[in-house]
Amino acid sequence: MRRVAFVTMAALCAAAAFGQGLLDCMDPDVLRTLLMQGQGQQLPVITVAVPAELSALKMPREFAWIGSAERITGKVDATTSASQVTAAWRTSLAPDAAQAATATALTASGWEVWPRSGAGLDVFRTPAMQTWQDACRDGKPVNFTAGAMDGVTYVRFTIQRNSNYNSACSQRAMSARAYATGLEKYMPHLEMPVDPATGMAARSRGNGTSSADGVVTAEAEFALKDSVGNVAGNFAKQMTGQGWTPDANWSGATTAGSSWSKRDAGALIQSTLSVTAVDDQQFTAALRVIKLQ
Amino acid sequence: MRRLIIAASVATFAAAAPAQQALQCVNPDVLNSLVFNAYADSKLVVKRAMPDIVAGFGAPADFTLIGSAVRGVNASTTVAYKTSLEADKAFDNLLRFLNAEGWQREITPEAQSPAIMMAGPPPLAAQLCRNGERRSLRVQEIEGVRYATIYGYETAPPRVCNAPRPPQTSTTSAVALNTGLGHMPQFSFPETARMDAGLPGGTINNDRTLSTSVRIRSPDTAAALAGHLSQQLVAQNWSTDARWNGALSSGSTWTRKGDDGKTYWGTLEILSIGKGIYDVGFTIASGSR
Repeated sequence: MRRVAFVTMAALCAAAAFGQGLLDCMDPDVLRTLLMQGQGQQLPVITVAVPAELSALKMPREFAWIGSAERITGKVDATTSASQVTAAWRTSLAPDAAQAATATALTASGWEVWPRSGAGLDVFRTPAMQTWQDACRDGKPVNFTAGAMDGVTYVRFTIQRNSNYNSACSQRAMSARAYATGLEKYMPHLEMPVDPATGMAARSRGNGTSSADGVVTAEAEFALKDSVGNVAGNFAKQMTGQGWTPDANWSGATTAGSSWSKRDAGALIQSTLSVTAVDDQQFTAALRVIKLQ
Repeated sequence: MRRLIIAASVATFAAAAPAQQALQCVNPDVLNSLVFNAYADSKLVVKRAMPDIVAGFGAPADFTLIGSAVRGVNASTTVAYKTSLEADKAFDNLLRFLNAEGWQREITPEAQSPAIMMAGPPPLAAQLCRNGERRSLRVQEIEGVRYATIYGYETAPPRVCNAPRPPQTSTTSAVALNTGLGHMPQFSFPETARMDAGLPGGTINNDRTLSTSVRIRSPDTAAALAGHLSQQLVAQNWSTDARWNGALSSGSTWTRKGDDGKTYWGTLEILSIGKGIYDVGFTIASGSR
């Protein structure tokens, strides 16, 4: 009986693989006007086909293939269209672990993977935030990210076809080298605190990062109904959880923060986390990281 | 066994897609990953009926309802119809119908340009407003079928009809920081302190903060240096908020009211590099009040 069920599933997958779109069961009116709002003239083609650009990729067994979508993005000439292909896997791993496992799989399959762009860009994060990473193989770039929805983590790749946009792997390598600070691996990830009033993570109203002379500073602005001390305390717990050792802390009427250190193979890394209540329920947070030795 | 397998599959799909009447036939993983891009805020609840809130989403009798889609917790709603009327006539009829309900065409700069650019023949579009609520109306032909969609959304903060959208402002903007530059304190170090050739140093101006730092060599402790510089901040009309003294980092936070009525926050930090070398930094940020 198990074999019957297996064969049935395989037959369903095979049917889809031979050109059937994964949205073909839908009413085309609903598809054009409600699901694909604004894309009605050129709907993406969604199938179970694995893009040729990823055919050499061997994903770990914790990942299950979902399908791919190709969207026409413009015309290159009279007969050729430029398009963007999205490919997706699902996994039960957490997004960070899924992204790391994907990077490892890409490397093992012959891709060169660049670090996440902008060392401080994803320090202050909301659960919905996704960080893209670039990878190159045979001079062709792909980029990938992981995000969670409905309790499932999805790893998605995007590939530009027939497009010159950011197509040169050499440019990506130069860019990665130019922005590398050596501090990327030390940057913590701090989830935005949950608003006691709504039970939801504070929404970031702006994130920024800067690096100069071996110092990286990450900043975020957000709105929250809570005290500056609680907000700083929440971030401090996360710093401890990520292996940072407390050096000092402070808490005033409108400012609170803490100083931290971390040793790694003889290097001493110091970071200072500061939170300021700049307005009623408006906060800014900054984390500065520096290598001391 | 077969019954068990089928039942399990149905339960999985049903749990993952509540109320998705119009999307039930599609694997939820396909929707979540390839349509909604794994962003929970992008998720749509689509049904073959009018939305719970119907005001401003109705249409005359010669329009056939396709269904409605709600994104987020009523953050935006789209209602779609199809019609056999010519595009111009369909647009005029729908506009007249909504006008009769009190929805008036809104002329603001953002209403002139549609938020979403569509391929193919340009749609006939208008933005309508009633008591601060807004509806975007669009009529377009796709693959030989004429569709009308009405898109409703909430503006945050609420905005009266025909009022221009307020400019996007950051709580601490670069403009504010240019003003803040004038509030950057001036420090004198103890006579025994010497400037050190090492880095870092200089000024960094982000969108949100303005920082200046210098590396010095001094026989004093970080706490003594902090005390020395704190006295100068008090003399320059800064008020202390909090202070700390750790093995690596010592410092204090400060506030000051500017002539413009805004509050400025200052953070003085002295970082012990070792062997009597310190990085001394001051960061200034401003609020909107």
